[in-house]
Amino acid sequence: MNEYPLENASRRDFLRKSTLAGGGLVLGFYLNVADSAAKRVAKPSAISESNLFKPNAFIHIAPTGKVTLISKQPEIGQGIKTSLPMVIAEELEVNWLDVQIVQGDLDPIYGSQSAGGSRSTPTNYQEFHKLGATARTMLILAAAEILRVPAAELIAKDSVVHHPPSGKQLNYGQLVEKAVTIPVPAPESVKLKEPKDYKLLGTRIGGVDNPGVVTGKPLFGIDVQLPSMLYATYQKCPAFGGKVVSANLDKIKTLPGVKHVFIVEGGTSLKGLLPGVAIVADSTWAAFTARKQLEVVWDEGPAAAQSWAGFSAKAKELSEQAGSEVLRNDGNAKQALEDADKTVEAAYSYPFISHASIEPQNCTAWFKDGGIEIWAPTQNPEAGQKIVTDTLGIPKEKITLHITRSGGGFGRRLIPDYIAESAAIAKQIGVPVKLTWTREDDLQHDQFRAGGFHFLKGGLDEQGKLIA
Amino acid sequence: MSKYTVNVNGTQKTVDVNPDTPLLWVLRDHLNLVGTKFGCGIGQCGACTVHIDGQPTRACLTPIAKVGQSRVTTIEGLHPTGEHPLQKVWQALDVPQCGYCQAGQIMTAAALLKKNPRPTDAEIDAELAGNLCRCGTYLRIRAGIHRAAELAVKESI
Repeated sequence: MNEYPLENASRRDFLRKSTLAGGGLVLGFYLNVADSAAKRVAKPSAISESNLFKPNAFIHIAPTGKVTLISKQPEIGQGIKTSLPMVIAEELEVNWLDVQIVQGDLDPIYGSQSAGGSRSTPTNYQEFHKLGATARTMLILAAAEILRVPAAELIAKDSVVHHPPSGKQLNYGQLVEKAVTIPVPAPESVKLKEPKDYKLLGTRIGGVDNPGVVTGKPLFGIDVQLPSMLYATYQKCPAFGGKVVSANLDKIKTLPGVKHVFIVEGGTSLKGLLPGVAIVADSTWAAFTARKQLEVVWDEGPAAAQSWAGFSAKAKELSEQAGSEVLRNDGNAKQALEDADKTVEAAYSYPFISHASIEPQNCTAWFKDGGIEIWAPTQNPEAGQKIVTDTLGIPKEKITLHITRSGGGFGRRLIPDYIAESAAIAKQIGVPVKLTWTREDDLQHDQFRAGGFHFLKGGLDEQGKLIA
Repeated sequence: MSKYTVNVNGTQKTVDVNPDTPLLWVLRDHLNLVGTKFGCGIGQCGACTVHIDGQPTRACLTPIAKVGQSRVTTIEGLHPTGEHPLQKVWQALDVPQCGYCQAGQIMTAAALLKKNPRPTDAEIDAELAGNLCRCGTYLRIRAGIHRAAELAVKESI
């Protein structure tokens, strides 16, 4: 069982209405979470306007007509920050140019926020159609009340509700005040668009962060800068699971730019916080440079005895024995091989492979007042929160996790080890700190695609046909 | 620690750092120009590519002490309004996937177009061989450079 399971999205099956403190309405996913969580309004820091129409946690419409859509899942290059908002915008009948997209922080109001297994679109697609369509329906009902006409006579198009019989129209901004008073319609009364009427879906819309990408704007985890922030590097045991016995901390403390150096105890679980030595300095380079002089005595543990040469020898030894498990047995392979005109044998092996996302693992954290604020390029923010609670004892409700853009994911960033390390360092020093792994750290401490060995044998008859 | 005054994107900037500090970290940690990316630190990935006097250069291997009064151009300074033909085309063709390597790709491509306004596929591949893209956007990068070359001729930049 994966210690960091992706949340199962199938339970987010229906929509539910609940009233908000702010007098607006929220149409949240029904979740297995406490009501208090579902009733909270998610407030990504980029949204500061008041008097918004918030038909659900993902859509905010301002009286100015500005539409803000929340991207709930991490953008790792798969385009989810563009594609799911497109689904809402399609059903909402909003002009894409009126839309701004904001990355949501980790918040149960959004449902699962993990991005893995190429499932973000399939698990959310239908639901996001309903979110957009519900909001569109409410805007039409608001227009019907204002214009005193039947809703059936109204058409939403390009951020405007039109009444063709009279030629009257109201834009979405003008409808906000009334829309907040409209009850959320029953899901079955909300009509989704016909695919033939799609205007956005099926067209190529460039990634919403592209303008920032091509001009070098801060988007990625590694780009996070906070006031008075320090920079950390973390040396773990080259053998997985090894512990620190001692280190030349006194020497490291005297090196240029170094502010703190300490041993992080860590635990024994390879999926938890691994032991190591943290060096915190006034710049990344000062931290990296000081680390070159770090000398650690390790208790390497049993993993130190493992090697690729050892695995290869063991695999060869096992290949010469009968297999322990028969997965399939058709006909008589033994006889067919004996009868074969020609037999062919081959041994294949494939190494442990690092994901090598081009942005090295990194995480920024700020521990204050018993709580922690985290900025992480992660595919699995829930796991990031969980590992911080599990390894440092910081309660879930005291963890704020901001999801940054990731320079590649490839499954690597489903594992939150670097988040735990950053949080552990932050907890010790109490000021904002950015932990950046070196490329060497990334390759040495990846959660590798497992290596393996295959030994195959086949037989051909006189005509060269495969018979075993 | 020593003081260095460097010309970055047309502006004189002074930093107080160790002489061996790579330009990459001066840009990122001291000048808050984070568009130039750290990928490997050993000149193998190209994510940190900047221009030094117009030449594509790995910022991670360039100590600040060696920069002198050379003109450093980063992705932030490639074009005053972010409208270099490559920057426009990169958006139009949706070249980036994760986007992390793209500043380096664009800086290398911009230097290529300057010396070779209509590069062939082979010339593009040779020039950009040192810029890795883990997402594998190489075909779009190549298409982007061809399109930007056409656009540059039209705009006669």
